[in-house]
Amino acid sequence: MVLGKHAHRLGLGVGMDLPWGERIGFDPRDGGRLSESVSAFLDRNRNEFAYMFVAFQPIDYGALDSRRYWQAYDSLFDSFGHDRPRAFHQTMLNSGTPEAYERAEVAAFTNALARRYGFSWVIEDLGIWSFRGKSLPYPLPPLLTEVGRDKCIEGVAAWVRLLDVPLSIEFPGFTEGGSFLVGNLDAFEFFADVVRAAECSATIDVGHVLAYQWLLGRTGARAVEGLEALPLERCIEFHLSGCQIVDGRFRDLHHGVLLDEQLELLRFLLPMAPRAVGVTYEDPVYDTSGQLVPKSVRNFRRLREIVADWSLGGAKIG
Amino acid sequence: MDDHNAIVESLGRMLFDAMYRSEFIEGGLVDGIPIAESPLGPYLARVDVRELTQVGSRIRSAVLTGGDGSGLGLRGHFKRTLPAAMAATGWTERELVERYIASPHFASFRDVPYSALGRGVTLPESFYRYVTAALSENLEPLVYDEAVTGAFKSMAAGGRATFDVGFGGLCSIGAYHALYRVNDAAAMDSWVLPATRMYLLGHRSFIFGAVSEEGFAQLTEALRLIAAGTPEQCSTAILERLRRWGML
Repeated sequence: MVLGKHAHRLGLGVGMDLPWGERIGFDPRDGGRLSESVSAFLDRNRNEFAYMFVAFQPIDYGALDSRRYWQAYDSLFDSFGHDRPRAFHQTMLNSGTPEAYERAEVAAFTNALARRYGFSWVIEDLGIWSFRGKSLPYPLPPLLTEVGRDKCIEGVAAWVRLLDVPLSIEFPGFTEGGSFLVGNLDAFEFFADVVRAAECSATIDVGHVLAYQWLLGRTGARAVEGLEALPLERCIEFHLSGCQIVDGRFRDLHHGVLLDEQLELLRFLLPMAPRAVGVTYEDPVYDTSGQLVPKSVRNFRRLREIVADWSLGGAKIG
Repeated sequence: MDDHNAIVESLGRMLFDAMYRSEFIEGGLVDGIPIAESPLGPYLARVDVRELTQVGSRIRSAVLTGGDGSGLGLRGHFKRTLPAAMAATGWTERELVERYIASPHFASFRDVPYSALGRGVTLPESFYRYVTAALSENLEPLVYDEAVTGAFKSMAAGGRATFDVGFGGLCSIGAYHALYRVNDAAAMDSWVLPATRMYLLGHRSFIFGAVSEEGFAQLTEALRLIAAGTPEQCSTAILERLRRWGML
C-alpha cells in the first residue's frame, strides 16, 4: 500500500487553490492570512469536509523557504481544524516534463512543509508545468511517446524517492483552454505505466478523464470506454472541479459547477478503486459570506450524497 | 525509440515560435514539410489547433501585459521603448512581441530556475538583449534605462532567488547591485535622458537618480565597507543617505 496513513475511507474532501491577493486566496499583508471569503467559507462549511488539500502558489520569486508560508498555512489549517487530515498539491514538481529538471530545492521545501503540517500525501498532475525554464499558462499533458513515458517514469520515481510523504500523481488535463496533445500513445495506458513503474499512488480527476474522452469522440454512453486501462488499483483519490461544455469541448474551468456527467462517471469509477480514501471537491466558488454560488449547490449536494453512500460502503454502481 | 529531441524541439517551437505555429495551423506544415510526410507527423496528428492557437495567444498576452513571472509585462516595463521600437521597425505590437518570443534572447528569460538551462534573467533584461541585438542601436539608451529599472524593480520585489542580473558594467557588492550610466548628447536629446544615472539595488529596495562619477565611487566604496562588516568606516552622511534610501 503506497498510502499507509489512512486505511479507511475519509469521505468528501475540499481542494483549495489560494493565490496571493485574490478574493479566494491568501491576503499577503502582515505575513499572510486567509482572505475574508475563504475564512467565511471555512467557518460555514468546514464540517462538510473530512479532509482538505491546498494547492501551492508561490508568494513571489524569492527564496523557496517554508517559513515564509507558515503564517498563511497556519491560518488555513487552524481554520479548517488543526488535527484533521490534509494533503498538498505541489505545483512545482513538473512531473510530466520531457527535459531534465533539478529537484533538490523543491523536495527540501515540500518536505519541510510536510513535517510542519503532517500532509498525508502530495499530489500533482502528470503535466508539463514549465518548459525550458518558463512557466506555461496551463500545464500541458506529457509527451505521449515512448521516450516521453520513460522520462515521466524516471521523474516521478525520483520524486517518490525524494519526498518524505507518499506521492499521488494525477491524470492530466487535456482541454484546459491552453493545452494540446503531442504523441500517439493512449493517455490512460501511459498514465498507468507511469504510476505502476514509479510505484506511486494515483489521483483521478474525473473532469480530466472526460476531457480526454471528448477529444477522442467518446461522449455520452461511450464515456466509459477504455477506462479499464487506468491504474484504479492504485487510485487513492478522485478530484471533481467545475466543468463546462463550451463549443463542443469539455472544459475544466474550476468554476465550482459540477456537470451531471462528472457525477455519473464518479459513480462508475468509485467501486473500481478499492484503495480510494477520498473524493475531493476542488476549487469551490463562493461569495464573501462563504456561501457556494447558487448554480453549484445542486450537484454539490448530489456529490455529497454519492460520497456519503460510498464512505459507508454502499456506493451504487451507475 | 522515437526521436525525442526532435519532438521536444517541435514542442518548443509550437509554444514560442508564432511563424512555426502558424505554418502548422494554417499550412499543415512542419519544418516546411506537410505533416503527413514529416517524420514528426505521427506525433503531431492529435494536436488540437484551437488549443494551440490559445496557447500562443496566452503566452503572448503574459509577455505583453504581465503574469507568469513576466512582472508588469512589456507594456508595463517599456512604456516608452515599445512604441519607439514599433515606430523604428514598422511592426505592429503583436509582430514585435511574437518576434521577440521566437528569438534566442527570449530564451534567456526564465522564471523557473530548475530546468537544465539553469537560472535566467528577468523579462526586462531579456527584452533589452533583444532590442539591442536585433532592432535599432539608436534605441539602446532608452531601452537600457527602462530595462534596468524593470529588472531591478523585479529583483527588489523578491526575484533574487530566481533571476540573475547580467547587464554589462554591473558592480556587485555583497547583496547590492549597482550600475552607472553616462548618456551622450544624442541620447539626452532623443530620449530626454539625464547626463548620468545611477541604479542601485539593495536587499528589498531599488533607487535610481543622478549622481556624479565621484559620488558613485564613494557610494560603492561605502557598500564595500558595509559588505565587509565595517560600516563604521563609512562617512555618516553616506550611511544616512543609504538608510534613507532603504539600503541598510
